Amino acid sequence: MASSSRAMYHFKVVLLGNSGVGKSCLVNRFVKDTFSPDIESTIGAAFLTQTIALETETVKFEIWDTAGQERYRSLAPMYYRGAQAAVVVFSLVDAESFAGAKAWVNELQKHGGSDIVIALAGNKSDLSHVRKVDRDTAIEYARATGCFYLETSAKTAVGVNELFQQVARRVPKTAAPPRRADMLDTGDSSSGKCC
Amino acid sequence: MAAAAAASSGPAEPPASVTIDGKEYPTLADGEYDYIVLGTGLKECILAGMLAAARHKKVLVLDQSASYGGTCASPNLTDLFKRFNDGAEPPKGLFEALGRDRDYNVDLIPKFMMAEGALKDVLVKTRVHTSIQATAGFAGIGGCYVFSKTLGKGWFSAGAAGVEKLPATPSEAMSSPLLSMAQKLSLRSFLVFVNGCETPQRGPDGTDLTKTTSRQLYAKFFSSSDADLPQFVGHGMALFPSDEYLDRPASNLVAAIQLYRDSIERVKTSPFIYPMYGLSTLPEAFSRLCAVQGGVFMLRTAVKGLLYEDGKVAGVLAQPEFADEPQAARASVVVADANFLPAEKRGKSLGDVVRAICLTSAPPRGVKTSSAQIIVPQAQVGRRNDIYMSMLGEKQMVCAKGKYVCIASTTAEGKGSLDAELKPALDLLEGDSVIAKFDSTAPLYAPSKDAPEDNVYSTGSYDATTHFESVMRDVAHLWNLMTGETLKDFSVPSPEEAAAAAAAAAESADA
Ligand SMILES: Cc1cc2nc3c(=O)[nH]c(=O)nc-3n(C[C@H](O)[C@H](O)[C@H](O)COP(=O)(O)OP(=O)(O)OC[C@H]3O[C@@H](n4cnc5c(N)ncnc54)[C@H](O)[C@@H]3O)c2cc1C
Ligand SMILES: Nc1nc2c(ncn2[C@@H]2O[C@H](COP(=O)(O)OP(=O)(O)O)[C@@H](O)[C@H]2O)c(=O)[nH]1
Ligand SMILES: [Mg+2]
Repeated sequence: MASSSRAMYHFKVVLLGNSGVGKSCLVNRFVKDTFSPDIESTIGAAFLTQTIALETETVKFEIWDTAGQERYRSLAPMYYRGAQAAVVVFSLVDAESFAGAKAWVNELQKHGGSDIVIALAGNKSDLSHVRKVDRDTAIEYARATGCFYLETSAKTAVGVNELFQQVARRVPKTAAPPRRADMLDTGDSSSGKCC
Repeated sequence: MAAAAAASSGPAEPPASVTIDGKEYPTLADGEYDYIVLGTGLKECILAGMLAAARHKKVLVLDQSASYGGTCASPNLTDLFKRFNDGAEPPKGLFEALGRDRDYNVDLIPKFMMAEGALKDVLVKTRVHTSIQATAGFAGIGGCYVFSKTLGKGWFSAGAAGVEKLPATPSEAMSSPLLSMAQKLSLRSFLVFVNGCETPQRGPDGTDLTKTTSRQLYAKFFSSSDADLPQFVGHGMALFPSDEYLDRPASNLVAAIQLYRDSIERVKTSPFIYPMYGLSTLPEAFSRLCAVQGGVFMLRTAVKGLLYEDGKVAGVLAQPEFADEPQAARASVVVADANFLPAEKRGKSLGDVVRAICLTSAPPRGVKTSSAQIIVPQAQVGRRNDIYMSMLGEKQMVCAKGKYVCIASTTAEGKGSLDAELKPALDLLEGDSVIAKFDSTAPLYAPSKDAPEDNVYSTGSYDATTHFESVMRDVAHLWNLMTGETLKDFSVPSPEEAAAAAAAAAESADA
């Protein structure tokens, strides 16, 4: 029972950002280590899970993809409610998506939890030859708003694990959420008895 | 340019325009859907989710509001105030008295979920419960109370008006001050009978309960002079809002009491559970189910009208906030909240539901739990319809610490004013504890009765009952009209099954 000495934490992390910046591809890369250009239809679950081992603890992420509800800015608040972390994604080859990312960061700081960890990810770094957002601008913005910045490519996998590792490290470990009240015993949950 | 190239493998670009009945419109969203759903209330979101998840339908959902939920929304203080004051900003004093906006999720309608009710079944079948449990979870409601005008009546006292906890277990029933010893014994033998019914249609003694009325069934157990027990059972346990059930089949009564019993068994303190952070969690979670399956949601989009071809609906005209002119999308079926439909399509109003949302600094008099439902049985106060009051607090994440959200509701009976209709319930609140009060009167509409000729289905509105059973009856009825399937037979393939089916479909498309 070596694993029992390691603390286990559950964190909810949401991905935000304009349509087409690569959020779903990033989740797919992190959870399944694959890249397929058209994956929207294959997700089909409210959220995916992936576990990361840090030096002394294990972090299990529940990763919530937007399911396309960001397309017309119609995300349901339940989507980011209770999230310990948010990854705000923009595309390095789309300047407009960077403006979009700023709006999402703003929104999170207004409506998200007070100690939510925000990662800013500049995705599609493999397309550096047609890059539209420069690194320093993004770093400067992240510093000013208290986020941390990383560049990723869901296509080549560069930076993707690093991104989630960093999130796992930064989320305060004091606030491991207790399993929530479960009044709907359905046989598939671990006998979560209510308050 | 490169961005366009990178995105080129995505879904096909929608056409620039859509032509309906010979008229050309700019394209709304992807331009073509199987179903367009108007409104994001619970019924619309459940149906949208079911159509997408179980039938692989392409669904577009529109709502002019900036938030989900329609009548089932749970706005914060600012939004609540604006809704009831024609969009006016709330005065500073409101926040001084009540606290921060972000602490509030105030339901517009007071409803709880029966822990073993029909909504739970659909939540589990669609696996939507997992996403709710992962964000908020459900809390048990702390207690059910019933109003009596003669509480504590005995040989030496006439009793006083007030509320008393409804017994949740047989042993609580035996010590409840609501009932005399003789009544307790009658109730006991009645409940033994109900427990003995293997199906609600048949009594343990073989009685055909579909051919016996509730009134006739009561007569077998309760003394004819006892007016209290039928009220206690029919309104307190079976949760019928009026006495109409008395002359309907007793199978309805038995089914309702069995649901009450099974639900109480799960929660212990009451038959009810509640989604933390407000009821809008429910439509939001079903919207996610739909979106995950490819459904498209557009909030802040005003519906301008339905478009027809040859007497049948062919699409919807709507204007998103970001667009400077109305756009259209095609669909051969429209499912709409009654509020979206012109008067002749809504059907006849069945009456008015009146509701008063009170934000208070103290619980209603006599309530000792952190959340509650209070029933004021009609006969106790000379009405035909019960008055309900729900109370929620900080524990359910609907308001600031030390504050309470108390919502009184009933079906209007022409008493002249909302306060007059709700008086017995509102009187339970200490006058100076009410910090803000928001009144509403909403016409009650039934959903489309038969499959509509023009393929525009109305989902109807929300009645005054305190739970979602009637809402789910509407959903079951509409689902049956649209698909021919009963809710019992309804199922959603697991993600694995869905992936296998999609792979098979792709293969046959290639061939
Ligand atoms: C084609 C059409 C015809 C209509 N005809 C009539 C009529 O003849 N008589 C009448 O009284 N009302 C009519 N309405 C509805 C009217 O515009 C008001 O919306 C409605 O009366 C508001 O009622 P409410 O405040 O109780 O609804 P609410 O509780 O405010 O609305 C319920 C839900 O519907 C949404 N909603 C309501 N109207 C629209 C809309 N137009 N576009 C997008 N979302 C909306 C709300 O945001 C909410 O989610 C019609 C609407 C449409 C679209
Ligand atoms: N070159 C490149 N393309 C990417 C990358 N990530 C995503 N894409 C492409 O961008 C498009 C949109 O990706 P998707 O994950 O669906 O974006 P979402 O809308 O944010 O979920 C798809 O065509 C992907 O193939 C990346 O890292 N590099
Ligand atoms: Mg996506």
